Amino acid sequence: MDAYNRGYNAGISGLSEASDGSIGISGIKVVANLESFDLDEEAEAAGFYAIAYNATDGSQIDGFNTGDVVISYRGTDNPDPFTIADGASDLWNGWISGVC
Amino acid sequence: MKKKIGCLPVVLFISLISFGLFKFQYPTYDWHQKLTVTVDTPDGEIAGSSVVFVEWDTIIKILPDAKGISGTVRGEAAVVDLGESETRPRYMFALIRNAKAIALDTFSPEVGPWHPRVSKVEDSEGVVLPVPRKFYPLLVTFNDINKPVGVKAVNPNDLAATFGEGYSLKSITLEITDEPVTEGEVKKVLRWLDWSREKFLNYSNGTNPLMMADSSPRGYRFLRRTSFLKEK
Repeated sequence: MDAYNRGYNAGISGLSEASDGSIGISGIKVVANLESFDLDEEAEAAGFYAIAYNATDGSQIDGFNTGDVVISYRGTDNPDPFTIADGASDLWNGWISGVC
Repeated sequence: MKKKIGCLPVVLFISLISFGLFKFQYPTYDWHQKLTVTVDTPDGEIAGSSVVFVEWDTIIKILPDAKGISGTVRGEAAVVDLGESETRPRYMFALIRNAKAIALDTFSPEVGPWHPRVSKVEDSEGVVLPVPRKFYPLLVTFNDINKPVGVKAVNPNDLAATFGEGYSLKSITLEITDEPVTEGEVKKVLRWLDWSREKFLNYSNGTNPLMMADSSPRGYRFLRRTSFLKEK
């Protein structure tokens, strides 16, 4: 359940973030993502990403029960100020917002 | 009397060299790409195109979760205006959802190191290539262009199913170009792209109204407004 590997600029390409009822790896199902609520543009501009999963078969993952809902979100993955479009978005919108 | 120059030029020189070395190690690649969709119709060929800006950055990997590369897109979907009709939709849109990767897939599809592949795309200005079928952008149309509900996928192999007899997709091509990024064409047609999020979500009881029927277990998927237009 890796928010870094879903959505925009994913670390691994090819993993679905579709909340379309499909059962994914280890029996998880995406119940909501940013596009469900038209939030993807603002979220990407701010360097944010989150996704919600539902465990359709809790027995496949340690510590999970069937029906558990997990919200997974990215921490800092864009600290680089030299990317032109979204340079250091996590610094400006995460770290500094958190401190001020 | 001698003029004192100070250390400013030295500092500037060192900064410039440092930045140059940094960009050599962590280069940025960008280009403008023009997608053109051509449709055969009973009245002849009709084409729609749009120019999109794509940028790929190499990122300093100082934190474990930082990615090695990051891509961004600015631009809008290509709009094909088939003309007014009582019996079929007027517009077809080629979405920009896969715009970041489509040039790589078209101009440099080989598997291999990333830098030579993006570099090859950047150096392909003026070259026009057909987009491989499996990398076609998603084609969609609307029942009512004034509302964000009722979006429908268009099968590129069977445009007649959506638009009627005599309509078929002739080609989808991509060109690396120096033309400016297309602006304003999609908004002229899809006014709801400018709506506030509240107004947009109210169309579908608080969720994204851009639901397109598909063969998934749920029976539909959400489309993003940013697949039609990405301004920043």
